[in-house]
Amino acid sequence: MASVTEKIEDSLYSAIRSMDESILLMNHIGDHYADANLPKLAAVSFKKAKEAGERSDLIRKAVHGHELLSNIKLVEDAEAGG
Amino acid sequence: MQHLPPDLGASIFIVWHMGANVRGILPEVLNKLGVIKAANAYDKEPILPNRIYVAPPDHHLLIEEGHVRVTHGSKENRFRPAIDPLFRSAAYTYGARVIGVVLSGGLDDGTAGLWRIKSSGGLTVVQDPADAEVASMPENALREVDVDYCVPVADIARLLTRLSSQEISPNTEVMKDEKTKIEINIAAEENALKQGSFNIGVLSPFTCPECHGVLSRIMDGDLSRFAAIPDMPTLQIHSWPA
Repeated sequence: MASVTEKIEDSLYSAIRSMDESILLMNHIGDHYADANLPKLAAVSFKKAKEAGERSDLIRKAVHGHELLSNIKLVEDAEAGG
Repeated sequence: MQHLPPDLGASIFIVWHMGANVRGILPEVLNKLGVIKAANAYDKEPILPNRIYVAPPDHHLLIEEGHVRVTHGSKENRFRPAIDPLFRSAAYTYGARVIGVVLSGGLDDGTAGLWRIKSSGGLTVVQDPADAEVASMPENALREVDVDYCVPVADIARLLTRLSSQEISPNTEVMKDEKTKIEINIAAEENALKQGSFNIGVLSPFTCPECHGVLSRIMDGDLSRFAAIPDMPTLQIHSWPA
């Protein structure tokens, strides 16, 4: 149980890292298109970056609320009334 | 702890390195020993004098103006709770009113935080490495920080009692630097990418062997540490090499 819940935390952070990379990349590409006077492509890139940011916020909430569990923790929570 | 007076007049905050899966029994042990009430801290708990606040398992303990924060931000120095975020946030909030104490322990958590306390006018105490069960945390702190007191653990209660009754200059300005604020916010679960975590270090050619994120080099005076900063693309802050 401890290993599984630890793996989940690592995986969520890994997902956030990749999403942050995609945000940086989309913003970078957007800047590039804007410099090349291609405003529609730039706008789409910035929009995709913003959408990725909203999705990464959801995963952040998940990882901050994620508990590392063990049998001891379950017993402790049960004693505390759930 | 049993030698601290009940009217110490100060608040004590403890981070103890422990696994996420243990029961946080330190407060029970302390309450059997001492006269100052100890408890696992809870988020937004007000800071009162003559109280001991213990970081619960798997959570960072941070200090804000008038209250503590108990957060589930990413690990630092391979630990959660870690000492550096506590020290850093205490120094950022209360400056010269802070006394940082590093006790026995492995690797180098506490060193960067103790440096931050010292640099904002606080006092620094380290357990004599010869007296420590595991000497490396005190040794690393002594090497990197101009520590004020290095004493055996048996003398620390008396020293803290004396130091906490000393007057500090009311004119001491608290250092509110952007770098420390960003690092505290990351430990407090803020989005590091949006916090501007890129700006607190210089990107290095290294990646973190643990989380595989890009490492940045952060300078604290002459002390340099590597952090897979941020959510930048990595969320986990930890010193490397540890």
